[in-house]
Amino acid sequence: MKRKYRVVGALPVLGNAVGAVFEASLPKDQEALLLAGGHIERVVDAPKTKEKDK
Amino acid sequence: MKHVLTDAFVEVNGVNLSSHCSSVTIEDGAEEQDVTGFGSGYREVIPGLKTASISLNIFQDYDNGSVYQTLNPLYESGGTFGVKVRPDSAAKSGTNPEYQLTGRLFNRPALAGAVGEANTSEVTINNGGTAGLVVGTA
Repeated sequence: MKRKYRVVGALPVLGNAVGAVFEASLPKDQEALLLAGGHIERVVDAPKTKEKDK
Repeated sequence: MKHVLTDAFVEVNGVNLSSHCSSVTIEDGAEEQDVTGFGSGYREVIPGLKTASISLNIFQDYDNGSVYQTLNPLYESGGTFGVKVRPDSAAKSGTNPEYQLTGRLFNRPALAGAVGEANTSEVTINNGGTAGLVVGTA
């Protein structure tokens, strides 16, 4: 399953520059190591707000 | 054309360590097995099991998301991880082959250097997969 990540460490990750947001389907072990090492963080899109009923 | 390494690409477990590497060496070779039989005037050797490794000389960096945070967990976990090396940082191609290895780290890359020197570590990543060293060009 593809997830969104942001590169937050000091070095590029998977071809993405520091600060960039990217989508990838990372193997569980690799994701855990990259998250724990401060290389990437998950990006969670804010839930869409419903329009108020008029 | 003869090649000079100035912009080699080194990626370990998805992290681009190129800016912190001062040298990279890829080794891939087979054991020689002697199969000489009686009556031969020459020794006959055939290739046996192969060994592959990628060695890096790295400048240590303990920042979040940098060298130490990349390599130390790989050593501690003992698990396998991907390594990619190219002669140039440009995309892989027939003239810029990418060497890929599923490796394991058997030494902790911690710290080395004398007073006033850069803190460097020699890191050797040994083959940990079944495919060995794979060369990709496309």
